[in-house]
Amino acid sequence: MDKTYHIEGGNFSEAGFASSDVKKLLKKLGLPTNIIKKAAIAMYEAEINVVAHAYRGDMEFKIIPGQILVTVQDEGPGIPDLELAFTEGFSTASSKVREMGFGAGMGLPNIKRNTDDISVETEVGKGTRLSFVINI
Amino acid sequence: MKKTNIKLEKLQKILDAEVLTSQFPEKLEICYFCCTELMSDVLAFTHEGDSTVLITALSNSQTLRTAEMVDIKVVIIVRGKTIDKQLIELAEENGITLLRTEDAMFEVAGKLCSHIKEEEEKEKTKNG
Ligand SMILES: Nc1ncnc2c1ncn2[C@@H]1O[C@H](COP(=O)(O)OP(=O)(O)OP(=O)(O)O)[C@@H](O)[C@H]1O
Ligand SMILES: [Mg+2]
Repeated sequence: MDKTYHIEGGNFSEAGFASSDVKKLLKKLGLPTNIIKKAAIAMYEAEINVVAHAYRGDMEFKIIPGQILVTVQDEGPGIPDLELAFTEGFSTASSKVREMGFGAGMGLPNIKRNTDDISVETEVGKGTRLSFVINI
Repeated sequence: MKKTNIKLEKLQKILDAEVLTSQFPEKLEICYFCCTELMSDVLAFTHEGDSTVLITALSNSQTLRTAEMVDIKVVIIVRGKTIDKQLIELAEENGITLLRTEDAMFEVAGKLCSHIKEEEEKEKTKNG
């Protein structure tokens, strides 16, 4: 099964729609609740990162026997220092993002915690591609 | 995050909270309280969403999206803020019960802590 969602940078009122939709789908498929929750948290953090830090992006969701695969690709500023970005507490979030309840520098570490494999490709000035796998 | 055991109807009475959604599972057992405006923290530290109440001053759609992702079923908005109809609809769509109280976060936490202490004292005298 395959699904793609568009994510609009800066649009906090719509943010989370994609993750919510996939979460409902996973429930319908009858996956274990702990797996659904891990996937939902990781997808939502990635979706919010596009809304908070990039201009626009796409989230691609795929489910194959034994695995959930998610790729979130965006056009945006990219991440100059990945190791720093994955440090708990590091954030460059704007005050607008903070007002929305985000920007604690917890998102990327939280994605890592909730997934079984993660990879990031990023180019400054171009964008970021984050992929992760959750074993079912 | 404080561990306790209290029914939703009791919680609503203690806080004199207004129920905004059509659903109100009064017998729902609450075990944990999460008081914060930081959705990042809710996402990182909620372990038992089903029995956790999120208490927050943040009343936007991301409050409900965050609750939804971690399976939190009850959200209490403090300081009696006006809440958009859209927000109530989003809560109902996702089976989340939304409440509002006039109290500020500090008072809410205070009331809940005193209640928990009282219950613990009662338990002690009963067993002691
Ligand atoms: N898609 C992205 N494009 C550009 N920069 C990003 C992207 N995702 C993350 N970053 C950078 O990495 C930092 C850390 O990201 P992380 O998700 O851990 O924290 P945050 O988004 O700042 O806050 P939180 O996730 O706790 O709300 C961000 O502040 C930002 O500088
Ligand atoms: Mg983030």
